[in-house]
Amino acid sequence: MKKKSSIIKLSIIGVLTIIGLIMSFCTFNFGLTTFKSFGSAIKLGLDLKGGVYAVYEMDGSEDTTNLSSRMAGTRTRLENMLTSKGYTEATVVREGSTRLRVEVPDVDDPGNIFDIIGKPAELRFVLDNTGEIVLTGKNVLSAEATYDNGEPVVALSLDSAGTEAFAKATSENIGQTMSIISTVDGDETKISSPKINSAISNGKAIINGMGSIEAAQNLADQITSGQFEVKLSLLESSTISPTLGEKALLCGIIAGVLGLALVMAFLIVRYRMLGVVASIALLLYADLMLLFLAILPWVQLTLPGIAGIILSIGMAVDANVIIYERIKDEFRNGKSMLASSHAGFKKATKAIIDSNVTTIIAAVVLLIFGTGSIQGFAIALLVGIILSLFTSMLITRKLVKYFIAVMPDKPSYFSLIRSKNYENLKASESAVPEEVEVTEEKAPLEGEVAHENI
Amino acid sequence: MKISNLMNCDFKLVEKKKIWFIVPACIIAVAIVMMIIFGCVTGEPLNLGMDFQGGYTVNVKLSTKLTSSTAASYKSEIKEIIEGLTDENGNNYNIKVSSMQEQGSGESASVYVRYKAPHGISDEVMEDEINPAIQSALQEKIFKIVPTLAWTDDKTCTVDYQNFSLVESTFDDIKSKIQALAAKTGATISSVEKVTSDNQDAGVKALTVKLSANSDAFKNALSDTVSINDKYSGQAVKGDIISATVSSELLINALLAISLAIVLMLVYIAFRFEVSSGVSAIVALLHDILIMFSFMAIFRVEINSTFIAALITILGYSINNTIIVFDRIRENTKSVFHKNSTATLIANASIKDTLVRSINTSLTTLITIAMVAIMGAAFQTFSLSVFALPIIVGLLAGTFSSIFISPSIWAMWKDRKKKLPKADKKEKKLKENTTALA
Repeated sequence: MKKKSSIIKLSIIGVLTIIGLIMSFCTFNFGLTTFKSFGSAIKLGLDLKGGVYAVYEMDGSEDTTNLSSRMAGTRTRLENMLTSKGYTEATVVREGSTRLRVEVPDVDDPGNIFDIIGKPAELRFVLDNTGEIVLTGKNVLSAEATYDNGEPVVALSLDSAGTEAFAKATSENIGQTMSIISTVDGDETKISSPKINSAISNGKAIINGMGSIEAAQNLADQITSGQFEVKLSLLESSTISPTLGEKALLCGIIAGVLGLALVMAFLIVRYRMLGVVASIALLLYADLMLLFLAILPWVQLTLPGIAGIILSIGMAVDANVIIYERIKDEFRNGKSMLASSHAGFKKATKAIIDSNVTTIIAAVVLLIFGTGSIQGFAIALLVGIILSLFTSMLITRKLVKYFIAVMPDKPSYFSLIRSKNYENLKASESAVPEEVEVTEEKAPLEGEVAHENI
Repeated sequence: MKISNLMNCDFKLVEKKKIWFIVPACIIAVAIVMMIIFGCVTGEPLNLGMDFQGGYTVNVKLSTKLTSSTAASYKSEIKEIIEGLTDENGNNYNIKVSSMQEQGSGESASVYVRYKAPHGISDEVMEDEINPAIQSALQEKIFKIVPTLAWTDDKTCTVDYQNFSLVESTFDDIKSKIQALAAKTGATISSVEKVTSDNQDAGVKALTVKLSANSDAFKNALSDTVSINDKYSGQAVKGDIISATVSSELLINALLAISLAIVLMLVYIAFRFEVSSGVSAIVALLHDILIMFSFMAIFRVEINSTFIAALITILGYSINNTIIVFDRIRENTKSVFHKNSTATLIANASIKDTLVRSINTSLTTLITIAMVAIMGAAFQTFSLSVFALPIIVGLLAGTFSSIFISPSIWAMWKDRKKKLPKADKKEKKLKENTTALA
C-alpha cells in the first residue's frame, strides 16, 4: 500500500464525514429552496414533539347494546387504519364511555387524517338490471389502495357470506354491469359500473375508475371507517405538546452527543489509532443513521426508537472492539501489522455476522408481526444494524488498511504489543534472522487471501 | 491495565457455576417475595403505569395565552394540587399525575392532565368523590388569585397582584368592594390608588389602600375581599375515565411477536452453532428479562409501554453478547489445543479470550445509555431516567449472563454426556460389589 494514496483516501473519507456532520445539523437556504438538515427533517413521535389530537364521539342516535365491545372493536380498526397509513406511533384511547381520543405525532396536514375518519363511506354493489344489492360494506374484510395493470384501484377482500353472494351474482349475470355506489354524509356517488366478464369466486373484488392512487387510498380509508362498529363524529381537534415534556428532546440530543463523545474518547484511549478509526466510522454511522431516519417514510422517532439506536450504536462499537481485540491477539503472536489486521478481520467476521443476523431476525419479526410503536422500534433497530454492519465491516476495514499504510512501523500507535514469549523468541533467534523474515513475508500473503475470502 | 492482570490468573469460572446461579436466583426470589407482599397489601404486585392500567383525565381550560414560563408554573401548580389532594380527615389520596400536555393554543389553550387512580380505590369512588374533589380544588386554587398584602404602617397597605394586571373594570370593582368592606367593619378609607410602574405596557399590578381609621375586622377580611375568583376565567372539566394506551390486544400481539422472534433466533443459533448453544443462549436471555422484571418489582419502578421497548432492546443485546462467547467456543472446539479437553475447559478458555471485549463493549454501551439516565435526572425529565434504568439493569445482567451463565450451561450440557458413562461405571461397580458380597 502506497503511503501517498492512503493519505489521499483518508482525507477523502475525513472530508465526507465532516460534510455529513454539517448536513446532519445545519440547515441552509439556497435562494428560494431550503435544505433541511437530516436532524431537523426526522419526524418525531408524540412523546418527544407532540402532534395533533382529536376526540370522536359516538352519534347520539346509536343504540348502546354491547357498547363496550363495539367501542373496543372500533378502536382496534382505527389503530390499524392509522398504522396502515404510516402513523405507527399514533395512539387511540377510550375516554369516558362513548368517546375515542386519537393522537397523531408530527403530521403535515392534521385536517386530512381526521376528516377521513369523520366521513365513513357506506358501500353498495348493485346489479344494474335488477337493482339487487349484492354486497355492502359489512361484507368487506379489508380495503386497500393498490395498482391493477398500472391503474389505481381499491382491492377488497370479502368475508364468506360476501364471497358466496358475489360468486353467485357474477356467475348468473355475465355480460351485465354492476354499479359500485358509495354514500358519504348522505351524498351518493356512483364510483364505477364495470361489466361482469366472468364469475369471481375467490372473494376478491376490485373497484376501478379511481383516477389516482390518492383517490383510491381515500376511498379505501372511507370504506374502512364505514365498517366501524360505532359511528363516530368529530368532537374537537387541536395540537398537543409532547407527553414527556418540552425538555425531553433537548435532553435526548445532549445525551446522544455526550454519549457518543465519551464512547469515542474511551475507544481512543483504549485503542489509540484504531480508536480514531472506530471514531471516524462511528461519526459516519451517525451521519447515515440521521439521513435514513430523515428519508424513510415510516420512521417516527420516539423514546423507544432512541433505545433501538443506542443498541445499534452499541453493536457498531462492539464490532470494532471484536475486530481490534482479534488484531491485537494476532499481532501479539508475531504477525506483521498488515497481516494481523487481515487475520483479525477474517476471524472477527463470523462472530459479527452471526450476532448481527440474530438481531436482524428479531427486528424483522417485530417489523412484520408487531403493531404500532413496536414497528417503529423495529425499523430504527433494523436500519441501525445494517448501517453498523456496513460501517464496521467495510469502512473500518479500509480505514485500518490506510492508517497502517501511513504508519507502517509504529505498532505502538495502534496499541499493538508483542507478547513476552515472542520477544524472547525473537531475541534468541536474532542469530538466525531468516526465520523471522519468512513469517513476515508469509503473513501478508495469508492476509491477502483472507481479504479475498471475505 | 488491570484487565491484563485478570487474564493471567487462573480461570475457573465454570467450575464455580453454583455461585453464579445462586446470585440471580436470589434476586429473582426477592422479587417474587416483594411481588407477593405488595400483591397482598395493595393488590398490585407490579407498579403498572397508565399505559397498561388506564386512569383519569382532567382538562384545565385557560383563556390566556400560554407562554413557556406561565405554562411551566401552571403545570407545577396543577400537579401540586392533584397530588396533594386530601380527604376530609386530611389523609392524602396519593394520586399520581402521569403526564401533562398543553393542548390547543390561543383562546382554546388548555392543560390536559392524566392521572392514575390510587391503590384500591374503585371507579365509583373516583367518579363520585375524588374527581369532583379534584375539579373543585382546581377551580378554587388555580383560578383564584390571592394578592400579597404589605402594611407599611397601620394606615397604609399595598395590595400586590404580582404577574396579574388589572383591567379598569376589575380595578373599579375591587375599589368598591374595599369601600363596602370598610363601611361594614367600621374602617374609613381615605384613598385607593393604582400603583403604576415605569413600564406603561405592564399595566396595573398593584394598588395602595390608605385609611384614616383602621379596624381589626377590616384587616382580617381584606385579603379575601381583594382576591379575584376568576384568574383567567378558566375552567376545569371534570375528570373522565380513560382506557389504557396499550390495549390488551396490542400487548398480546407484542408478546407473540417477541416469542416468535426468540424461537427463530433459537433456530438460527442451533443451525449456525449447536442446539446446546441455542438453548443456553435463550436461558441467558430469559435470565436477563427476569432480572429486569425483578428490578422493576423490587424497586417498584413504574412499568409503562417504554418498558416493552427496553425488553426488546435487551433481547437483541443479550443475544449479541452471548453469541460472541459461543463463537469463541465454536472456534476453540475445533482448535488443536483443545482436542482432548472437556467442555468446561473450552468454556473457561473462551470466556477468558473474550473477556476484554465483553468488558469494553459493555462499558461503551453503558456510557451511552447512562448518559440518557443522567441527562433525564439533570433536566428533571424523570421519565427518561425511568426508561433508561431497566436498560442499564438489563445490560449488566446481559454481560453477567454471557460470562457466567450461558457458557456454564453449555458446558454442563456437553459434559453431562461424558459423565454419564462414568456414572454408569460406578453403578456397575456398585452392582458388582453387591453381587460379590452376596
